[in-house]
Order: sequence, then C-alpha cells, then structure tokens
Amino acid sequence: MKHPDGHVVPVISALAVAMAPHALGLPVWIIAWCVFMWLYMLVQLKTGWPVPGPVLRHVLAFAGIIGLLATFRIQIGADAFVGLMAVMAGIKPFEMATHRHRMITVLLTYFIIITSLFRSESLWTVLYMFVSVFVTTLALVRINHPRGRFRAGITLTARIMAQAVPLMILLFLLFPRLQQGLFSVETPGSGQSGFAEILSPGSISRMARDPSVAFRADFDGTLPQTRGLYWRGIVFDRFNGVQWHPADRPSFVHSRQRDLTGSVTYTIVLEPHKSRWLFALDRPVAAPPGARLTTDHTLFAGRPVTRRRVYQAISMMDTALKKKEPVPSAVAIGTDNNPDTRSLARSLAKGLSDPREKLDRMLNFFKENHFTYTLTPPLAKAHPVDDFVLKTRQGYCEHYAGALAFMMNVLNVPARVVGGYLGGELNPYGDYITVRQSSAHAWVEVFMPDTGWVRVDPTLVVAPERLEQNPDGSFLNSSGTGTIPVHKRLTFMLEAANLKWEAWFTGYSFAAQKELMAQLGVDTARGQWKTILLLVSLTLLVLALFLRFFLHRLGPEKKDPVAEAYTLFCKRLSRIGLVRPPNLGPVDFLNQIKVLRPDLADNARTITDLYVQIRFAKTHSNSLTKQLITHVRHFKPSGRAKTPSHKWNSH
Amino acid sequence: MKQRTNPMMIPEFEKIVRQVGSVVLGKEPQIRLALACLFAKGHLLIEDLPGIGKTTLAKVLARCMGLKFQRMQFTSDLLPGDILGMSVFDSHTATFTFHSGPIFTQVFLADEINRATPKSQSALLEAMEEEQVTIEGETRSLEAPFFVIATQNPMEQAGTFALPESQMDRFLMRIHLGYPDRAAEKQILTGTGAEPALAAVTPFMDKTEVLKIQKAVEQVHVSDTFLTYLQDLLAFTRTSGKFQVGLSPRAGLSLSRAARAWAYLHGRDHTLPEDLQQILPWVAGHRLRSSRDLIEFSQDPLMDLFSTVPVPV
Repeated sequence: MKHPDGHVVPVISALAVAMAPHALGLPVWIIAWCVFMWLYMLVQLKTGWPVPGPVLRHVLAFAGIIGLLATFRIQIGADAFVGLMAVMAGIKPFEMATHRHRMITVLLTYFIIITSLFRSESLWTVLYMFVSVFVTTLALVRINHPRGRFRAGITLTARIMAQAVPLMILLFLLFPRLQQGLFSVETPGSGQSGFAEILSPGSISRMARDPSVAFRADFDGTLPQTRGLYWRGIVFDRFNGVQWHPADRPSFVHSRQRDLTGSVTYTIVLEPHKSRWLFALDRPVAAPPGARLTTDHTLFAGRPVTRRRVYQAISMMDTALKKKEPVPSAVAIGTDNNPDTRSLARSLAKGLSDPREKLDRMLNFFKENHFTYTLTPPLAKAHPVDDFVLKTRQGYCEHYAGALAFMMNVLNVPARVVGGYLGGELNPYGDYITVRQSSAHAWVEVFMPDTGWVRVDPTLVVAPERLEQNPDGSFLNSSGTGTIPVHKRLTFMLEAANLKWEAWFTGYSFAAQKELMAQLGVDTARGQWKTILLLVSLTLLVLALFLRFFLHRLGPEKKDPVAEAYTLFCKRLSRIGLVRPPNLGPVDFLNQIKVLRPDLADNARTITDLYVQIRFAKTHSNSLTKQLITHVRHFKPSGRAKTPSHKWNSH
Repeated sequence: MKQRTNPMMIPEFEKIVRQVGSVVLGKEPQIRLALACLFAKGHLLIEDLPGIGKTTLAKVLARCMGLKFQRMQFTSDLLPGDILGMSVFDSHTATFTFHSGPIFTQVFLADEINRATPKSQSALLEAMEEEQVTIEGETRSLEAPFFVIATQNPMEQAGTFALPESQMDRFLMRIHLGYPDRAAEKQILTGTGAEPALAAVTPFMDKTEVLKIQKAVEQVHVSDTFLTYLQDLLAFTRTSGKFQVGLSPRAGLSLSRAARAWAYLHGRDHTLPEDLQQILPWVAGHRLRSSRDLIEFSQDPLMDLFSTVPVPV
C-alpha cells in the first residue's frame, strides 16, 4: 500500500498548533516526546526511514502511559487528561495509513483544542482556538481532498467555519451552563501561590516576587480612592507560638445590613486559589451569591475556588462601624511561647490602661528601634516573635503584623491579624485595578471598646512608602494616561480588552442564561432542573432544525420505497437464516430460497417478480410499487415451518 | 474457475445448444456463450490446446445458423492479401479483376491467429470492427452477419505473435474449451468422429433470422439499476488496485451488449444483474491483468469483483 505522504504534514501541523497552548504547562518530557515523534515523522518523509509498525507503536503507547503514571500518579486532573491526549497525539501520526485513522487523528486534534480552555479562558486563548480550529479543519479538508488546490481548501475551510458560527453562538447562549462548568475539572496549575491559610513568618514574603494576578476589581468608573486599598481576605485570630490560624469554623452573619449608604459596589474576577476565601475591599458588607459574610467581615465561598470566579462585592470604605460590635473573647495566643516578647510588651506598657495608649507605645517601639522592612527576612526559629522583635529586627508585613497582634494580646487588648492584599495597579483604560500576588499583605485589627475593631498597619510605621507602592516597585497609578510609557499603555489596553471579554465569557453563568431566557419571554421560574431540561430540549430543537435545513442537501435526496421494501424483504428472510449476500442478484436469491425453503417460494417469487419488474423491466407503473410494499408487509416468514405444510396445500 | 450453473435458455435456443452439443460433446456452457456472443454481434476468441474441438465448434455453429463458413489457417508467411483478396490482371479482358479472399464470408474461422504476423492480424482488425475491408484503396463491405471466431494456442510461444491488447479488445468474449469430461470423452472415443455428425446437422435458421435476433438483442432494456451495478463493477476494476488497468468504456459497452444477448437468449426483454455475472468472466477476462503478477490473467481478482461489489437494491 502506498504510504499517504501527503497527509502527514497537514495532520502534524494541526496537532502542533493545537498542542502549542499546553507547551509551557505540561511536563517537559511530554513536549519532547511529541516534538521528537513529529520530527521523526516529518524527516522520514525525506529520508524514507521506516515508520514504526504495530508492535513498536503499542510499546510506545505503553511506555507513554507508564510515563504518565510516573508523572501524575493517581491525580486524575486536567493536567493528566491533557498529558494523556498529548502522549497519544505524539504517536498517532505513525498510524495514519488508512483514511479512518487520519480522521480519528483530526477528531483527537479538535479535542486537544478544547482542552486549551482548561488552561485559560482569556480572549487570546479563545482567538488562538479559532486559529487552531481553522488549521485543523484545513487539515481535515486536505486529507479528504489531497489533490485539491490549497487555495480552494482555505476557501472551503473558511466557509465551513462561517457556517458553524451561528450554531456556535446558539449553543453558547442556549446550552445549559452548569455551575461548575461542563467538564468539572480544576484549572491546571491553579492555586500554586494563593493566599496562605496559615500565617507564619515567611508565608507572605514568599509571594512578594510572584507577579501573577490574584484578582482584578472593576469599579465601573467610580473608583473611591486610590490610596490604601486594603483587600480583606482572611482573619487570623489564633496563635500557637509560631503560626496564626483562622477560626476553625467561621460563624456567619445572618441578618442583612440594610443601610448601604456610602458603600461602593464593584466586580471582582478572582483567579482560582483552591481556597474558600473571597477577597473584597475592607470591609465587605454584603455577600455575593454563593458566598456568605462571616462575623469577622470576610467573605467565605460555598466551595473552594478552583475555577476563575466573578462576583460582585459591596464594601464600606469607612471602617468606623455604625453598629456596635460585641466585645470579643480573648484572642488565644498560648501561654508559654515567646517569653521575651511577653515581658518586653508588659514592661513597655507598664502603667498604661487605655488600649490606645498601649497601641501607640507598641508602634513607637517599632519606629524607634531600627526595624527594617525587607522582602528576604531571616529564617524563623523556635520563638519567631522573640527572634524578630529582639534579635533580627528585619521582617516583612507578616512579621510586623504578627508581632503587634501578639504584643497587644499580651496586654489584654484583643488584636488579630488580617490577611489580604494592599494596593494594586490601576488600568486607566478599563477603570479596574489589577492586584497581583506580590501585593499580598497582612495587617492588624485591634479592638477598641468604643469603636470596635480598628485597622492598624504596623508595616507602615517602618515602611510608609508601602501605602503608595507595591512591593515589586509598581505604583498604584491614579494620574492620567499621559505619564505612562507607551509599552505599558499598550499592555494596559490589551489587558483591559481581555478583562472585558473574560467578565462576559466567564460571567455568562446559568443565572445570566436564565435572565436571557426571561428576556426572551421564556418562563424559567420553575426550578433549576426544569430550566435545564427546557434549555436542553430547546438546544436540541435548534440543532435538529439546523441539520434539517443546512445539512439536508448532503444526504440522499429522497427515500426509495422500492429499495426499502426489498431491503425489508431480505431483512425478514435473514432473520430465519436466509441471508442474501450483497453480491447475489434477486433472481439467484429467489432460486436459493426455492431450494432452502420451498414453503416460502410462492410468496418470494411474487415479491421478486414485482421487484425485478420495477427495477429492471422497461415499463412499470406505480401500482406495482404499492403491490410490492403490500406483499412485503404481509410477508412474515417464521423459522418454525421447516417443511411445506400439506394442510395448506390441500385447500 | 468455479463454473456458475447456467440456467436453461428458451426452448428454441436450447435446441441449438443441444444440436451443437451433439457434435462438440460436453461443452454446453461454452456453446451458450458462443451463441450469446454471435447474437451480440461480437467476435469470439477460443483459447485452448489443439485437438480440443475449437474448429468443430466454429463449423457446427456456422452450419446451425445457416451461415456461410470459411476457415483459414494462419501462418507466419500469411499476407493481408491472402485474407482479404486481391486484384489480378485478366489477360482476356485486359483489366484487373478483384478476387475476393476468404474473409468475404459470414463465419470466418481464423485458426491459430497468433501465428500470423501483426500486419496480417491487423488486416483482420478492420474487418472485425467495421464489417468492411479496404483493398487497394477501395472499401468493400462484408455481408452481415459477420462473425469471426479466432483460435489460439496459449502453450506455444515460439514463432508466434501474441495479440496486442488493442486487438484482444476487439473480441467480445474469450472462452476456454478445456478437456471433455470422462463420459463425453468416452463418447468421442467410441464414435466415428466429428465429420459425420457435422454432416447431420441441419440449419435452424438463416441469415435474416440471425439479423433479426441481433436487432432484437439491441432492444433488450437496460435499466438504471443495472447500469449502476455495471458502473460499480467498472469502477472497482479501476480503483481497487487489483488490476493493472481498469476496464475501458468499450469494455463496459461490451459487457452491456453481452448481458443483453444473454437476457434475450433466456427469454427476457430486460437485463438482470445475474446476466452480467454470468457473462462477465468471459467478457472481461481477456481485458484485465492482475496487478499482482505479470501473468496475463488470473481469476482471483475477478472473483473479488463479484464478492466485493454489491448488487444495488
């Protein structure tokens, strides 16, 4: 068999383009595997090296799966799934001798394209997917018309894709959105550097050089103020001598705050961080759907954020609460840890009774004792607070916040550490703020009997510039676009476009879909499952209509009643063991029936005569077709009567 | 090859088959094919060893049909003029008079055709295809019906000129006679030879009747479904890769003609897929070469033809 050389290049190109978005995310060996196999296949076109036979192909597939098992073990996640696709895509080009295999390869390629969405749903990914689908469809055209002109192939591909666009939009709008996404898999690589659930010295400074985006906040033109944006995440109110922990079980606010005057509403696009905390400007006063407000003013989601999440947050920027808060129980800090700091705090505050004075004394201590703010603090020892306060005096925000909260608690003033982000980068084109992991921050809240919990940021005592500047040196820019360099401006513009896209694409949820249905006049207020059923049937209806009107031309023009009748006749005979080989003519078949089942001969002859008359004779009328159909309908051979019954003949 | 059972023809033709069969013993299937070939206005190539009865078959066929018969032994020194005839100067009238050759007949038996030179073979070609001959610039038509039966011995190679494909294509059918079976051979051995039996054959019809039948064969209906099947078969020979070269449109036409004659001989005014299956090995066999081996013809790919191409419903 001639090897189909002409198919190798289009199929491998399609595979390579489809796999490219995964190039950075997959283990290096899988990428090397694919590149090696594909290069070998391309080189052998020139050199005529042997293509691996079935045995070697199986060995390779087996080796690939062993490699996958070694890499991913039993974590069946999106990464493992994509890895499996990639390993198979690597060796699939060896197996393209037949048209069927080539078609399978192209279908596999389409699947690989879909998996790009596991990695990112950005505008660029989606645009790239269109390119990828184009290349793959072009490959599909090429393997079906290997001798067609390239230009014609491109035109056909473009036309096929253009025809698919209406269907794509309809399916996007109508196909039921599942809350977790259709393929409920975790975004690969997510949560590598989310906010730590346990605060210990080094847990935030570790993130200080991570430029990846934590979340974006879109204020829709009503940016409240650009200085000191504290994004509240987790409250840590338990200290074990080394680490701060949040409450084991958050308690939730049950009553809704009615008075929202002075509040600010904005949209947050949160990147997955595998935890259940949602971030909002200090302090959030209402919880978005699917999340609840805790009594310590944090947002707690119903399930871990494993996919990008878009939600609306409402915050009160004025931290002085209008409602009186209950006096909290003492914050647990243990009794026997960090003894030197305990005695230091007590000696510093000797004679003071007002919590505010105690706080000032503590802050003064940090100001006057040459503490330095550094991204690379020394490693912590057994009593990290003692170590920091009395020896190294170099620390990042978590050191200052942890130490201050600890010291205040020693002085019987309830104080807790709040983890979140400080600052961000304003994009002037989109009126939104990008907050990166490097802006992670920790501060302190001290309970004052008259005003409740008050935010105190000890980091600002030693590094006041932190209020204006992110730790990586970028500024929270609020001036016009004039002073921004061109490349930065371009980045801002592209980012703004992408954010708008993502807010729409990711934000088109089940709820949004219901809303759309409601606008179309479809009553969806009958429960979720009924709505899903409705949407599915609506989608199928649209699909059926599409197939009926657009693809109808491709199918057989009209059903042939004669062929149907004769096929039914043959089918009924095959049930009793008289199978007509496809190459047996009708008369020969009749002769066979006469020999094998003489009892059926008469009926079979009538039907065969009619069929032959219609199919092969010069003239026939429509009435013959009707007769044929009638006869076939009444022809019901059964397997029981092996020999002709004499009773019947005697009549 | 596996011989398909030949169904009986309508009685008047069955009589001819029996009559011919009484002289050429045990060869009824070949006689039926030869009859179909004659009525389809085709020429017949019989390929077999000497002494099998090729010549006798040709003679007895001619006699049954009431047609004029000429036989010519082809040799390597045969010239076209020997077949077609030539003008000879007549000293009495001082003019050239045309003396027609043996081709001016109705059944022409070209014995051992592959012994003649290509030049002489091609002289026969025009006569076969156009039923006319051109001698010395003058075209003379042959008397219809005109039927050439050629024989050749496939075993002898020395001093022969194999018929080129183009010439093979002029023969509607090629059949093999093969050895007679035991019973027939015993009858041959105990009998007195073919000559007395041949003398006893009485003509069943005359040339006008033969022409009438040939015309009637052309009227046999070919339906769309039949043509679909025929085209599927042709396409298979061209695309399956089992044959060096696929069947030509002329071969397709030949298949259709032979199938019509076969249908007519079986008393039908329309063709069936079965007709095509009956005649195909003999019509297509000498036009196809297996792509696998270089021997001229192997039956296996032909069998694939039947088993692979379905009869359209």
